[in-house]
Amino acid sequence: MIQMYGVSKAYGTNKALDNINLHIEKGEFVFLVGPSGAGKTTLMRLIFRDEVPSQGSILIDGRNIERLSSGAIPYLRRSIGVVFQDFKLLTDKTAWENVAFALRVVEAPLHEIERRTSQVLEMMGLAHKRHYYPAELSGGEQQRICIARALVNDPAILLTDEPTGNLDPDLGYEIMKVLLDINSRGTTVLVATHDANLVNRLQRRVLHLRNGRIVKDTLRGTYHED
Amino acid sequence: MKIRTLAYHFKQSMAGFRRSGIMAMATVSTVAASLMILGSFLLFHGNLNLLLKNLQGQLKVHFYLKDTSRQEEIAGFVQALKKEKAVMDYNIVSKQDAIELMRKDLGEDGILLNNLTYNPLPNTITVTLKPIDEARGFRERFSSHPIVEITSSGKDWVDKVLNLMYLSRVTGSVMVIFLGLASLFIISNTIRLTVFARRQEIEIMRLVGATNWFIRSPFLMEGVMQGILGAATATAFLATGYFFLQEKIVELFPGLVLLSSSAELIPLYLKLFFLGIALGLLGSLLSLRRFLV
Repeated sequence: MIQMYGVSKAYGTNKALDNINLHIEKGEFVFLVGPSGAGKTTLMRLIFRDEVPSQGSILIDGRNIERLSSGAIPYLRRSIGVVFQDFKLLTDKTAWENVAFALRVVEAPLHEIERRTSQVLEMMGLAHKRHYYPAELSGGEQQRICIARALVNDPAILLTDEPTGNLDPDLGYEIMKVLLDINSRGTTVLVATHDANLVNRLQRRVLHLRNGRIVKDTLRGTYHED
Repeated sequence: MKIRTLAYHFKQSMAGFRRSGIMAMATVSTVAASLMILGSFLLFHGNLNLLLKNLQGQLKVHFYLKDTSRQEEIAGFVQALKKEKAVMDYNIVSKQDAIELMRKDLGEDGILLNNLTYNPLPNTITVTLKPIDEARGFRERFSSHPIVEITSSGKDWVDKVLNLMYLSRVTGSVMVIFLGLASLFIISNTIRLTVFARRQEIEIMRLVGATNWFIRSPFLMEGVMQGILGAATATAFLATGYFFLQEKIVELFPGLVLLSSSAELIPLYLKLFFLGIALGLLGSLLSLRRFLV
């Protein structure tokens, strides 16, 4: 599903990623851990082509994405859901409108927008808050709206950057259960996190990044390298 | 693009328009003012053109040639005339023909001419000019020719009208370019503000896979809408203003024929209208090219 060959990314003289070689199969659940500045976010941004690598190549579903024309990028992104640490919700739109927005921009039919949005909100346990604005929702609820928006297009890959970063441990675990549920339906899920407890508890594949390099890749890993 | 998407964009662009508020009004006013000035020039020019069109065939210059001029000199002069773009027609009347014509004109009194010991009438070339730019200064250019004794023309003010027209075209073009650029600048600036106000939304649109045209459309619509409103305002003011002014002018100069039929005026107003739309579209494209790539 996701393949990287000798991928490096430099910002000026600062190397954010250095010679990354990586294979993630379809339907995998992968944690991306490491200290701040290790390159987790950059790695994700390369996958949905928010950035292009300085070196190396990236294949998504067999397609080399750094050679995509600017017109083809939106279509790549429709197959990748992204959940940001800072949510990126539109404050002047309700929960429902925020989720529907992702379908609106891909010009889905109205009845499809209605059906899918309601379905995803239901799945996130937020159907009753559909008319609330982000400011009226708790951090966890906003996070779930953000996940709902990433999922509403039924993406093949879900990228989440610190999905539990702002949440208390119980809520964090709830969110993680949602992600596991999505994963069990066949979506490849990549989670960048600092949450050692969750990583240790779930026993999934863990990629350890440090100084832009993958220093450890374990199938049933824990948060700490040793 | 699908109809419902267009409707969605339209709603977005209306919201953008509302959000820009005073800035959008300022833009519409600038576009309206520019188009009004441009429209006034078009009307002025159209009327001058009409005036000249009505003079078609009446612009005549007579060249009275020296008796000493030789046949080949006259032929050379005619050759030079033929090269002039403004010359519509020319007519050569020889000394003999001239006196015969005079005799005919005098009728019974023609007998007086018998007392002449020589033919005092010169060879004459009468040139009919087209009322175009190239006719400016025609008379001066040819009157200095060695075989020309004297020139005369029926309507000396024609040169002035032609000069005025030329001047109005030059100043008009400069003004149009200048005001057009100002309109473009202010439209693109207003759109830039809207883009800035919606930058978060744009970022999210990008992330969830909106195509570039999907993102751009509402901004383009907003620009076009500003153009349309500006053009509509300008056209309304100009049409009303011209309607009353034209009545006043015709009252003052009863013989004057001005552009007045809708067949003449509607194309002019349409031109203005489409120019407004084009300005709006171009202005927003300019800002999008810089801020939404």
